Formats: sequence, structure tokens, C-alpha cells
Amino acid sequence: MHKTLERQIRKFLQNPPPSEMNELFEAISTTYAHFDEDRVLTERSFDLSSRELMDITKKIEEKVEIRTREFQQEHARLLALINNFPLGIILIDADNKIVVRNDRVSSILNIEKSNYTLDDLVSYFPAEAGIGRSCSTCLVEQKSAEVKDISIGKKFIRLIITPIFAKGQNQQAVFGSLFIVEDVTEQKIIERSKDEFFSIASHELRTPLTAIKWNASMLRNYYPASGLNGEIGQVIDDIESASARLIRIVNDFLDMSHLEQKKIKLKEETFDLSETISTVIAEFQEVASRKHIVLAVGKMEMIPLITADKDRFRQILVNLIGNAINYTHEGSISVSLRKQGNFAKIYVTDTGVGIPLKNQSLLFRKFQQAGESTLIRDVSQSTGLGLYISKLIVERMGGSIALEESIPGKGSTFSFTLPLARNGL
Amino acid sequence: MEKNKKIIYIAEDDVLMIRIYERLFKMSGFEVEIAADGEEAIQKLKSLKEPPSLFILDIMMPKLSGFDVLAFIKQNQVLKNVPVVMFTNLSSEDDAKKSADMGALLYLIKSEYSPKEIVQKIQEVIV
Repeated sequence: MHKTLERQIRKFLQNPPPSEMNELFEAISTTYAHFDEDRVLTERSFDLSSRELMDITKKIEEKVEIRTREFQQEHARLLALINNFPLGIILIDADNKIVVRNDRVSSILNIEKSNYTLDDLVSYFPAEAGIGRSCSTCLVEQKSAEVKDISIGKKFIRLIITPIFAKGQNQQAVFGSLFIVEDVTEQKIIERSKDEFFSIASHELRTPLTAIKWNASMLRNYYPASGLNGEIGQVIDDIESASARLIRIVNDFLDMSHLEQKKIKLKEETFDLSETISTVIAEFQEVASRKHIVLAVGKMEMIPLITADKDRFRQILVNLIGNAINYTHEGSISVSLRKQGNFAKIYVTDTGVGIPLKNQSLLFRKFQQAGESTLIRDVSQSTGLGLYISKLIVERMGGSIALEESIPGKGSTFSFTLPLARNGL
Repeated sequence: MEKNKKIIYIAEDDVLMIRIYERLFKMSGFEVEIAADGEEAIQKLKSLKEPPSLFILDIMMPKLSGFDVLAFIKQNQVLKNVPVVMFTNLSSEDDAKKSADMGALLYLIKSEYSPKEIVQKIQEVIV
């Protein structure tokens, strides 16, 4: 009998148990014995599990230590990157608190407060910059927003605001935002200096050039003709045309500078495209006929009156027709007009020398002429700015310009488009 | 000065251009009065006996600019109705607008015109 049971029974029974109870007590004893066996097994299992658990725990701890070290290294690398980044970086969490801010931010924005929030940051900038609005748009639409030329004191700041989000199964959760802050003051100063330089330089160049051109013209037109024919007359004409060419070069440089800095204001004028095209063609007839080139109006589709900057439209057309005349030695040039969706498209087609394929990519760049070689640039004809300036103007007007086709020895077709709606301005 | 000839009052600091204006406008039948900078232009105007028929003002000048002279003209009861042509080699849309806002009749970029064209323009506006 199990000792525990025997003890318990003796305790409760004064007399020795009746023989009928023996079976019951045997069964109870067996149960106690089984309990002891189970307890031993359980203790052994626990003991085994504990050892296994300790092994697993130890392995987990080792892994955690490795990952922690890796994380610390990664964190250190990231912090080094952020702190040494030439632009200001501000990381904002989902509660709109600034969690990371590098030293560059402090030097650009003079932020000293340590517990800055997004609201503090937004109110730092002038209201008209609309930073708050840009932040909201960025978070709602989940795409970056850029705010340029924010004026703060003597500085100009550029901001890029980007949402930070994680991709879940069905949607993206925004859990903060990133501000990149750039001090663009120096660039602005350089831009202004460049603009002032161009304005002053062009003024200083144009004045003596005007004097040369006008004196030559006056010699021709206001003084007695004697002695001004023949060679002397040719000399005077050369002086006048050279000064006129230099003035055009100066004008091109100034125009280019203004267009690149987006300082050109486009005028709005309602005019008839086909009528204007015909007028420009008429102005070029004398030059074309001197080269024995036929200059004609091609197919003109019916296009409604357009509202755009007429002078700038003329400028593009003059450039394209002028180029066609310069690079065509025989044959013809035609200008046609078509409607293409919501755009008017103007084509200038010539039977000129054409442009080799390898040079076609140079066409709308600054100072490029698409001739065979830079050694045989025809500098008497242009600065290489005409197509570049035309491209800037057309794009400013909401259109595009392109070389449609060019075959060396056969000719070229250039085209440009203008929006028919007012959106182009 | 010859009587009955119209007088063009010119404020211009460039010596070359001054000589050209004198030749050009005299040959075209006008009398010419020249001031070599903005300050001189205003000083001379204060002592002028009769108003000219036209003002031609360069913009970029020493001491005072063509806009300063234009402002003086437009504030003067005797001179304010004389047509003013701003003559410059600065091609600035802002300057063109400012000229128009201040009451100038024309804003011409010298280098874009021939002498003949300038005379034609002057004849169209001179009183």
C-alpha cells in the first residue's frame, strides 16, 4: 500500500480497515503510485524542456545581440549620412513630432527649440508659401510636393515634402513625413547677377553697335551719293550688315537669358494664323528670290482664330523660315498649317541640304548647328541659338517643336504646335 | 535756333549717339536741344523759355535716369502734354510698362530701328 495512503487511513480509522475495503484501498494506492510516476515523468519533462528552452533562449539572445549590433551600425551609418548631408533633413512621425533633424536644418532655418512639432515648422515659414497646404496635399495624395523660392529674411529656401508610408496588404499606411530643406540663396544671387550681367552687357554692346549701324546707314541715305558707289558703297554696306548681325547676336543672348529664367511675359492677342504666316512669307520673298528659291504658302487648313503671343509666334516662324532659306541652295520652301487635336501645327518644309542623322539630336541645344562638322559652321548665318530659343518660346506657350524628317541632300521638315485653347499661356 | 522749326529735346549720355542725333534730326528738318545726363536735362528744362515739340529720353544715364526726367516732365504744367519717346538699348518689358504707365508715348529700342525708321516714328508723334 502506498505509504501516504496507509498513513492517511491510519489517521482516519481507529481500527484496522475491514477486509472489504482492501480492494478499494488497493485501487487508491495504485492511483497514488501512478500519480508518483506521472509526477516524476512531468518533472523529468520539465527538466528537459527547461534545458531546451534555455538553449533556445540563449540562441535567441545571441541572435538579438547580433541584430542589435547590426541595427546600431546601420543606425550609426544612417545618422552619419543624415548629419553630413548637405541638405536639411527633418523626419516627422505620425503624431506630427519632429523625430530627426540634422545639423544643416539648424544652420539653414535657425531652429533652436528642441521639441519642435510640424505646426511649429509650418508657422516658421511665411503664410503665402502655403507650407501647411502642401503638407496636407502630400499626405492625402501620398506624393511629394515641392515649394520653391520661399523668401525668409535674406535667404531663399526650397522645400521638398515627402510622405513616409509602409505598404500593407491592401493599402499604404502613412506614418510620417520627410522634409528636405535647401538653401538656394546663392543660386538666386547668381541668377540675378547673370540677368543683370546680360542686361548691362547687352546695353553696353548695343549702344556702340547702334552708332556703327546708324552711321553706316546715314552715309548711305543722308549724304550725297558721290563717292559712295562701287567699292566704298560695298564697304559701307558691309559695316552696316556686320553691325546688324552683332546686334542680332546680342539680342539672341539676351532673349535666351530671359527665357531660361522665365522672365518673359507672354502677351495675349487674338489673330489669324494663316494670315500671319502669309505676312511672314511675304517678308522673306525678296531674300528667297535672290537665292532663286521658291517660297510658298502650302496647305492651310481652316483653323479658328487663336489667342496667343503673336510676336513670339512670328519669331518662331521667322527662325524656321530663315534657317530653311540659309540651308537651301535651290528648290523650294513651303509653310503649311494643320489642325491636330487641340493644337495648330505648322510645318516648314525645304529642299535644302538636310541634316545627317547623327547630328539631329544636337538641333535644339544651345550653340549647335547641325552641319557636318564644327569646323565648317556657318557662323555668318546664326549664333546657333535660334532653334534653342524657339524651343523655349514654344514650350512656354504650351506647344512643342520638332524635326519631323530630314534627308541629307533632299531637305528637311520642321514643325511646331500651339494649343488652340488659352491654356498655352 | 531757327524759328518755326520744331525742337526735339534729347537727354542722352552717349557721345556717339548725341552726334548721330544732331546730324540725323537736323538733316530731317528739326532743331535739337541736348542734355548729357538726367540732372542736366532737368536743370535745363527749368530755364527753358518755350516747351519743345518732343522729348527723347535715354533711360540709363548718370546722376538721374530717364524715368526721373520723365517724372519731372509729367509733373510740370507746361511740359506735361509734350509727347515723350523713351529711347533705350535696354529691352526690358518692365521698363516698357513703366514708361507707358508714367505717360511716355513710345518705348523704342534703338538697335532695332534704322535712322530712317526713327525719323518716321518721330514725325508720327511730334506736335
